[in-house]
Amino acid sequence: MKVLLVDDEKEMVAALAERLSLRDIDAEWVTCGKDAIALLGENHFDVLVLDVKMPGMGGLETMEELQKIKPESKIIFLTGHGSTSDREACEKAGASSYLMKPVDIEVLIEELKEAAKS
Amino acid sequence: MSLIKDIKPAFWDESKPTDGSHIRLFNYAGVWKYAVLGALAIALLPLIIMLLINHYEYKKAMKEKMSGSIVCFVSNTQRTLGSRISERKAILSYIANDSRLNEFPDPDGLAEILSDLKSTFGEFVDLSLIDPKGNRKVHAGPNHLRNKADRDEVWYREAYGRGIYISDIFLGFNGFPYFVIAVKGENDQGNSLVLRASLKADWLEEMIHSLEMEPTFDPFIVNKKGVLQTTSRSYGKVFESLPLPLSTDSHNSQIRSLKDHSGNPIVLSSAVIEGSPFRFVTVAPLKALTGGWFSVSNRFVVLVIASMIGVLIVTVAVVTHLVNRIFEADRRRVTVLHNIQYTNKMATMGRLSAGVAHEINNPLAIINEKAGLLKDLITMEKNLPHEKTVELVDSILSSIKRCSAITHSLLGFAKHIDVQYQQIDLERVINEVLLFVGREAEYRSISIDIKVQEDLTSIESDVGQLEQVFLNIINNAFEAVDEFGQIDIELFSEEPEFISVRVVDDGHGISEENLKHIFDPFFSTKGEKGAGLGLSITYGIVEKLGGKLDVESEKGEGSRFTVTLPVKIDA
Repeated sequence: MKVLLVDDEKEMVAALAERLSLRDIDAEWVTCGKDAIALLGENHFDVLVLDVKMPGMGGLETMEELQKIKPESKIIFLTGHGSTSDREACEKAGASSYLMKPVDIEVLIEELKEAAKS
Repeated sequence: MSLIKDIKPAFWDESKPTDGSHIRLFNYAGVWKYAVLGALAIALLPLIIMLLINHYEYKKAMKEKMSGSIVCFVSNTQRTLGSRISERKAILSYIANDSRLNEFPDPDGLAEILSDLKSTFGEFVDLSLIDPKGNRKVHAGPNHLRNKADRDEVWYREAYGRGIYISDIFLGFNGFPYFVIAVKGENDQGNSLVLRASLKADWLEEMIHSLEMEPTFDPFIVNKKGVLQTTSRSYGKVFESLPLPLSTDSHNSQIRSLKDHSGNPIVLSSAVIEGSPFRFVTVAPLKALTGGWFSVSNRFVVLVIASMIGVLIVTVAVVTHLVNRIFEADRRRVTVLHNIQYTNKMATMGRLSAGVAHEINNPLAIINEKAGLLKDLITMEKNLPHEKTVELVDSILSSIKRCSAITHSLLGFAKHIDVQYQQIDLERVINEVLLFVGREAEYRSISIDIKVQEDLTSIESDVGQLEQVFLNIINNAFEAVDEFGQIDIELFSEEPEFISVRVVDDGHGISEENLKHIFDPFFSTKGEKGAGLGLSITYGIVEKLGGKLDVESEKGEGSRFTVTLPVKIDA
């Protein structure tokens, strides 16, 4: 499975990518929405994991742009604060799921597999 | 003294606030004094004026009444005396023109006439006939008065010239008072003669003193030269010179107020006794005239004074009560504001907590992944490079440091409930506050610039309250700006002994209308969301710290909030 992690917190996203790799999941990471869109143009990812709150292009906006390019993209949202309104907006936009940070790696992998299947 | 303590109202000693704030409190004692003085002046002034006018008018009326009385008395007495003297003149005139005197000189004839005269008018003592040369031709009656009057030659010239002469009163050898009446007559032969009579004068004094008059009146007779002809009660014995000034012209009764030789104020009325050299005078002390004032007007004065006391008591009571109410209301307001501040602080902390949670969550996420990775590496990899391990652990440690900075700030914020003054570096406080909003600034791409004037001193203030103030203002700035907004924070000193912190944003600004009410409690432009207390409490805190808060704003352009604080607190 190939996933793309998008989160502005470099330390976290790099470590997470490495952990996923150790579990035989091909994870790449970028720190902003723009980079994600650029990458999506040339590569295929089974699932994208997006951080909701990012400077510049936020998670939702990135999702919109991504869906323009690849409408069938599967997206999982990660968030640091989890307000209900955010959750609703994300689900309405068509996200596969919505997870709170710090994320349990096992739970994430479960969700990734679920998303990739659907 | 303890009674005064009981009576003294609660607000009297309130000059310094006790809750550590440094604003000038309402000067209750001062306001009380002014209110009482003002009210008393307005209430009592008319009463006092009335009292004075009444006193004056009453005095005037009494004086006029009594003056009228004295003038009346003098006038009547003068007429009575005058008519008495006229009677004696008339009878002498009759005798002088009587044919019986043709047989002059005839001492026996004259003696008979004298005895007839004495049977009706007992005061006649002697009679003489004087020729034009002044020689006495005939005399009837005792001789002891002869020499006395003869010495004065002027009298017979006057008698011959004017037809009548009345002498001043003089003392006879026996010590009794007498006076002389001389009239001119003509006998059948056409010869002029003067008939001279001596009369006892004591009836004059008796008559004067038997008259019905005010007990304080002092009646007496003086001659043209001001020599007393009868004894005055206060102004001399008979034949002494009257020590009072008399005008010599007027024949009518006149009245004058003056001061006598001892300085006592008196009223003097006098009138010439017609056809005589005498002037009847009555003197009365002025105090006596107006003495009745106190007794009659007493009730009025007592009433007015009672009213004044009543007004005084009521005014003081009402003003004290009102000022007390203001004082208590102020006290309650301070308490309420204090409570609101606390509540607001808690609410602010509530608002913060979301931001804080997020702030802490990110480092936690990092720790989560790094620790997780470390565990993965330890359990999955056979060869674990030392550097990588150390790197991971270091990363965890620095994330923990990040967290603890945030939690410490929050704790610090929660801790400063009580006011505690200390030397504070404003730049540090601002930076601590910015920690709370740093992440939001990042997400919304809001840039924050801080500019600090060189050599800015520290100020004496309270950290907790300063944090509240700046947090509130900076939060407002954040709410005002859009994405990519700009917030500038300047620290500078414009006036000596004061340091200012200015927060400038390029957000949507405040309209002129709203600007007027921006610091009013319960005024909010956020609709349902805002309680409208933030800025009013902030304003209150700044005031309490001895500073001031200004705002300038243009709708659509942005706002500038300037907090100016004193370097030292005036104790």
